Amino acid sequence: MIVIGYDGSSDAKAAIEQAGDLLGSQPATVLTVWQPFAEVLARTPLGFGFAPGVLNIEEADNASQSAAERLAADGAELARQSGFNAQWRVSTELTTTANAILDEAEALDASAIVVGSRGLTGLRSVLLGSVSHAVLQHADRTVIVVPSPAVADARRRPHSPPGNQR
Amino acid sequence: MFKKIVWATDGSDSADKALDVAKALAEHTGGELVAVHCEELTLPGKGGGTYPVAANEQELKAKIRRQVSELSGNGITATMETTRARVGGAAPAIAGAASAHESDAIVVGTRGHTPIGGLLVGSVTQRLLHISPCPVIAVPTREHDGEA
Repeated sequence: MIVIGYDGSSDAKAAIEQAGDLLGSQPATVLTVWQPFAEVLARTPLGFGFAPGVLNIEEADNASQSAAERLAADGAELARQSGFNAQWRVSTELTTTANAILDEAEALDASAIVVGSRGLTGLRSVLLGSVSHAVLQHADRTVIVVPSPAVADARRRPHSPPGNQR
Repeated sequence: MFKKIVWATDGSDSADKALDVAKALAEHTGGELVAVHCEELTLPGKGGGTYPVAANEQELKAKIRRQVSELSGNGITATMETTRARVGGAAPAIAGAASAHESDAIVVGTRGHTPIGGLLVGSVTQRLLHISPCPVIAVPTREHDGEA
């Protein structure tokens, strides 16, 4: 079983396609991680400063969950087109996206984890590939990091020696 | 489509773990395997001389050559490529070789020769993620018992 972290970004789509190209026909689980609203609030400068009644947290979470499920289902469809025998799952992010991916990989006893080298976290990630970095650091199984097509192209260009790319 | 898999090896046990995955991938895709080894050289001293950083560089190379001929014996198209770089320059050298070969993936161990604790990922592997033109498949030394 291969676990593929998927956030619906074009980089994540490219990661599925490239992974399918290499590993196709294997069973795969496309995983979308979503963030419960209380977690978002706890990490924003606003804190819990919203007036009661303005936001219905349960409603927001239901919307987030169904959005994540749609994303994951789309990702699984793309994975099937890319050759995988794919299913999908969603998971809530209680600590970090990377931890949620690692937990699922553990639960599914996955042989490998696929992540794009850049995606989006709940609040757009500032760090390039913070999720892939964290997954790699903490995984006790094979991790496949797929660079986004734009990044890969730039790195192939002969005029920019790879040593100068970060 | 025909695949080219780069197996980045420094001759360590960690690289050997990665070889299992590289081999499985080459078999799965019916592709070709290129063993890329970077010989790191010390900075030149006063006399201008420079030496391999690994004192057993010749042994490491011989080991990799043996592994490559074993692969060929198992019906996998495999070649060996040795590059040279100044100390610390292994990752760009490997990425450069992957670019030149238009490889579809680089398979690498997460540790290398310097096992500093079980949690840290080796600097060459870490750096490869930032500069690789193709997917990097990082294989841990203590592989989880799962199906490949």
